[in-house]
Amino acid sequence: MPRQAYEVAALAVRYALALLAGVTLLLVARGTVSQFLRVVRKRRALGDGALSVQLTLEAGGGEALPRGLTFFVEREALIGSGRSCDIRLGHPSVAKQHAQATFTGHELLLRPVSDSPATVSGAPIGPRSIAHHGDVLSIGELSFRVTFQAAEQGGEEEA
Amino acid sequence: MTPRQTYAALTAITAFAVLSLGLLSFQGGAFDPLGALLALAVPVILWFTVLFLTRTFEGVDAPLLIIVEFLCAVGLIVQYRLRPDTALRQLMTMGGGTACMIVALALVARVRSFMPLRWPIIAGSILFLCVPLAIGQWTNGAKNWFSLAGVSVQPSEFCKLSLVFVLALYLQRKCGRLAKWPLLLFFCGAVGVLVLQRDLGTAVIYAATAILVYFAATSDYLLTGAGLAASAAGGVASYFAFAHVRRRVAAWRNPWMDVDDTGHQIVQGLMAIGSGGVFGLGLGNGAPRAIPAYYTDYVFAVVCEEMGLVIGVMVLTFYALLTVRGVVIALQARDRFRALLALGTTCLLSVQTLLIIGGVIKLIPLTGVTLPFISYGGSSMLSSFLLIGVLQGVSVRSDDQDRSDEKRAALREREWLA
Repeated sequence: MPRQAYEVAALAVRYALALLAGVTLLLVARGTVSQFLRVVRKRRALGDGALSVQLTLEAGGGEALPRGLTFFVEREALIGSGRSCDIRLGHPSVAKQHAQATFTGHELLLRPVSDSPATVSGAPIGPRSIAHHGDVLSIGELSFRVTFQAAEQGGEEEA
Repeated sequence: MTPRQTYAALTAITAFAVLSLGLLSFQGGAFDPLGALLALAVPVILWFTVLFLTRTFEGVDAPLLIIVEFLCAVGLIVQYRLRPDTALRQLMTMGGGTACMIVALALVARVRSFMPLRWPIIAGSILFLCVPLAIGQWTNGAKNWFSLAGVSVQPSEFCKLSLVFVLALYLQRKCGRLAKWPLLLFFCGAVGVLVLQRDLGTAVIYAATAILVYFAATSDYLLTGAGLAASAAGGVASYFAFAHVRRRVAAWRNPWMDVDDTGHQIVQGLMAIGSGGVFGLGLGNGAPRAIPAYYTDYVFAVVCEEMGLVIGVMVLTFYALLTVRGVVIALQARDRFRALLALGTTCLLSVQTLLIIGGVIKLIPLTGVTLPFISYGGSSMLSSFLLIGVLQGVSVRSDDQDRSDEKRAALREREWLA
């Protein structure tokens, strides 16, 4: 191929190359940024704090619900005796939909759903009650110990 | 990325590589069969890597693979254009790098604990780093490589891998500062050897990565600040201690003062980028051989000259996306060890890219490090592929994780029993 013909071909090809590289870039970039923002938002919600809340039944369950029974709240959980609840407590003192629990990573927010009694460390829960690690949460006649489960630290054992 | 988008991206890169390599096979006047061979081999490696990995391991980050393969394709095209006789070697390194990546991926995904390996890693890396001091030769003011059976090996490239492993191993647990003394020992030893070899660019990469990963793991402002202060002091000290650092800084501040000597490389690079314009001169039409180190450190200037600002900026954007994907992988890792591992590898690659491209476009003083995946050089290519393999290994869903998911599901079942 004569030199001039090659040079003209190279000049023509450069546009096609730019186009092809651009297509690849768009395909890769699509979603990467939004995925990044989504992951960051999720991490911020969890923060450096705990990953879940453990509710341990301490008293009031009688024979149907033994002491030491545990439930977990990772993000949100509806507490009650009804079928739609995330944490189902089959006990006469618990309403079908009793309370809503939301875990932010640093505190457990509680909100009453029915008029049935629920308290955090003795105080009746309002629209934005907060339970911390170690508090006692009572739902009807049942009382639970609230413990925050720390994030898993490493998958490695110290040798 | 959906499978359809993956196929589309692969097709685009294939067309990109075949078109440019096909064109370049005529650059000497007559048809060169090597160009056709490369145009055939690149798509094979490309499709095999992406399809094999995404089908074998669940959770492999396909966009990250595509970024790497695109950068490799650009690298191979530029190497074939610059020095056709070395292109075959670059292709073999690319294939070998892919194999290394798969091995690293499998190891990081499968091995349960790297903790017992920490002392062999530390001792072996420091010894390996010292080898060029004993049997290496001074080239371009540095003594950072040695020749083994005809193959030149640059240990500082491979020790990057040990750096991220040691960092992640010692920082995964939140414990006192004193318990991390082996990490400090390793870091100071490695950077000390690098300074003795006058491989200051790599020392900067190591230091930046170590400080960043340390801060991410501990949020310890005091020691991070101390590390930054020590690095700044080290930078100032190296300015006064080494004549070539003073020359580099002077050349960076005003390369036009001494166009024929100290400023020569920067001026040639800037003129190459400038003469390329928006769409470039076209592959094979430029005069890249005027730039010293045109096929290693200064390869970005060649890309800009012949493929134009458009592809230059796209290459930069690909590196930026690589960083974002690395950070996303780190944030989603299943434990702290793997999160720090992913963050460390991402830091290494992005700091290196920043250093060399910043140097080429006269944003910061020039340091002699390679551009990952594009520069010619076996050690650099293999270590970059190993780092990507580690990153992918963190991204992969392992059997372990499935089991812990099952355990969680079982727990949930029990909760609902009541």
